[in-house]
Amino acid sequence: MAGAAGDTQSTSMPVQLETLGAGALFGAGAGALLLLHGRIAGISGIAAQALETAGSERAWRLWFLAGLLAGGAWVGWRASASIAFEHVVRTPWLLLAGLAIGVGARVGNGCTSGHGVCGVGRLSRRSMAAVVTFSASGALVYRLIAACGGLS
Amino acid sequence: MRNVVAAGVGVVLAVALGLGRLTRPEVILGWVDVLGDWDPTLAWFMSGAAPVYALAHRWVLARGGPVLGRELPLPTAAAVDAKLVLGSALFGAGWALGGVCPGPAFTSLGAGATWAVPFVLAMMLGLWAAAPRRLGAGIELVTSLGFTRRRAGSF
Repeated sequence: MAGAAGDTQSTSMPVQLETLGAGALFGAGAGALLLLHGRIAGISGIAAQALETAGSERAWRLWFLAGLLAGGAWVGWRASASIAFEHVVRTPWLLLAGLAIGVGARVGNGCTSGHGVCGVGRLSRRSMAAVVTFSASGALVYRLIAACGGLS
Repeated sequence: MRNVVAAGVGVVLAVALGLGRLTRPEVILGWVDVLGDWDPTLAWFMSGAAPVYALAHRWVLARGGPVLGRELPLPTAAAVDAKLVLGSALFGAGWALGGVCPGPAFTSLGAGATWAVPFVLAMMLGLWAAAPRRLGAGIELVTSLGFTRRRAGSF
């Protein structure tokens, strides 16, 4: 897996500013959901609750997920370099990854958006602990996988 | 109106993830490759997002509730418990395996990336199966074991 990256990451200032700006846009979107609707834009939480709620509580979540897909369609169309149309990791490992992400986000009460942006944004200790934990665990598991020869 | 807001926010979040390149698996894999070719993109993205979100958070608290309705269900748990740590550790393992977060998974699916179909299905299965009332007893057992071991540990 190491060295399989499609393009080399530039560390020039404009790229970092662009990423910062994209992050600000994400924060604004998540902030709008909180300000207008009073809900936290935790994507895994919304997806999970969409399976278990009913009526209007389910409807807005399904609309949110539809919006994500529509936004994704726009990205695929206008910013296609940002989409990995081929994944370097083979499907069995991707299934395991998806399962780990799903179970982990549910048990840990959130993912990168809910903990990393919304939780950190409101200075939640739990969310900061979650971000440190999944980054550290990710680094450890990544090292283990690399030591075993990778997944691609 | 709430549905329109939710759909609009969904579009904005997907576009932001795309423009920030968090949809590229190598960006997330690069983030966890701390001892190798480390990619700080995720930190830049979060540094842009969290302060803007913090402003919205202060605003909604100051006005006493959201614009559409009065309800503001914010998380009340304060303790860093074993469930949070174990779940997040598993989430990190998922990162290291695939380099895909939930948001980018939906974004890639919308963009037409075929690998996102099995990934999102597996993720939804995981989110469904790990609901507190389904894992219930199992989680309680595992977390209590994890918690006692942590407390009994050398630190």
